[in-house]
Amino acid sequence: MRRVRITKNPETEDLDLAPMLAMIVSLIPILLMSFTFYHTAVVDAKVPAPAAKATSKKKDEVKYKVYLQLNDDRQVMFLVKQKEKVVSKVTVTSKAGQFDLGKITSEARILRKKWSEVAKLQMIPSDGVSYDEIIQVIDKVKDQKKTSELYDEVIFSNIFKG
Amino acid sequence: MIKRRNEQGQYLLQLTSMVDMFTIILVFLLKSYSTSAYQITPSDQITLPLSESQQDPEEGVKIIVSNQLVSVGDAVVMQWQGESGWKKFLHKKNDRFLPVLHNSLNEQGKQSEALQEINDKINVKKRLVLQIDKNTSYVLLKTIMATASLAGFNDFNLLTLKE
Repeated sequence: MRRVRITKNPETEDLDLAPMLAMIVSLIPILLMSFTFYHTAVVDAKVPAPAAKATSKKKDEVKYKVYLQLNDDRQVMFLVKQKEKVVSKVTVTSKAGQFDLGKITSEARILRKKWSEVAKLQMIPSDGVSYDEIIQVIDKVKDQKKTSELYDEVIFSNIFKG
Repeated sequence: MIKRRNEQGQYLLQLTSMVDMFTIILVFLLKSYSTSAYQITPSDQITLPLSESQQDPEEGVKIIVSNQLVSVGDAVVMQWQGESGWKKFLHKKNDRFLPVLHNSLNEQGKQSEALQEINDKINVKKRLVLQIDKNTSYVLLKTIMATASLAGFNDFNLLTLKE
């Protein structure tokens, strides 16, 4: 029987993974400590200053105010008022019993373009609207990307009355 | 027949699989790494709504609103049973005012101002960070905001989960 001798090629070496493993083992505890399970964000909202505690009576230079009314039947009304007189009114009907968010965004863009000097949106949700729905609507009307196509600020204008 | 022998009789540790596993874990952790200076851990009592907002939370007085309690910081200020049980905390003459909440927020505001007096570099803004359950009705929300506004807080950060 012929004998076969197997010789190791002296030029090949096993890859030394120990330093790489040491580095990875050092990094993992550091990254674990800064690991975030929840990625949170905030939606900035303002309220009108109470009349009794208004410290500054700055003249309202904005002639027009844009209101967004959220009704219990999930219908939305955009109202543009000039000194409490309604100048424009746009209604967005509900879609499958929910707020039609796409239509709300497109109408908000149109109004923002038409009355470009008004950067604040006065929101008037009804009592039956849930917080989740309010946040969804704010997402659709607030300018997240600073493009000036939507509104910079959302103000809950009916917290004291209505 | 070919036989291979390890003449020294030692078992060689196979690190390849372990390095594979660590590399995958490392990549996953790098993706979730957060450099934000201020972190808020959402309360486990509530379900936060989802939002497209990318704005990071800032330092402020924390309020947690669930369907059974309202807490300011770590202290529970209002607790009730049922959907409308919170109405028992309303002021008798003003249905948009919660005296217990107002007092608690006033104390928080005074603490913040005291801190600012000690150290001018601390810029304390009267900001509220609201953690509200997504099914909360707007009635409770506006009552809380109205009360907070009377306590001097006009800047509200509504905490959400990033979509």
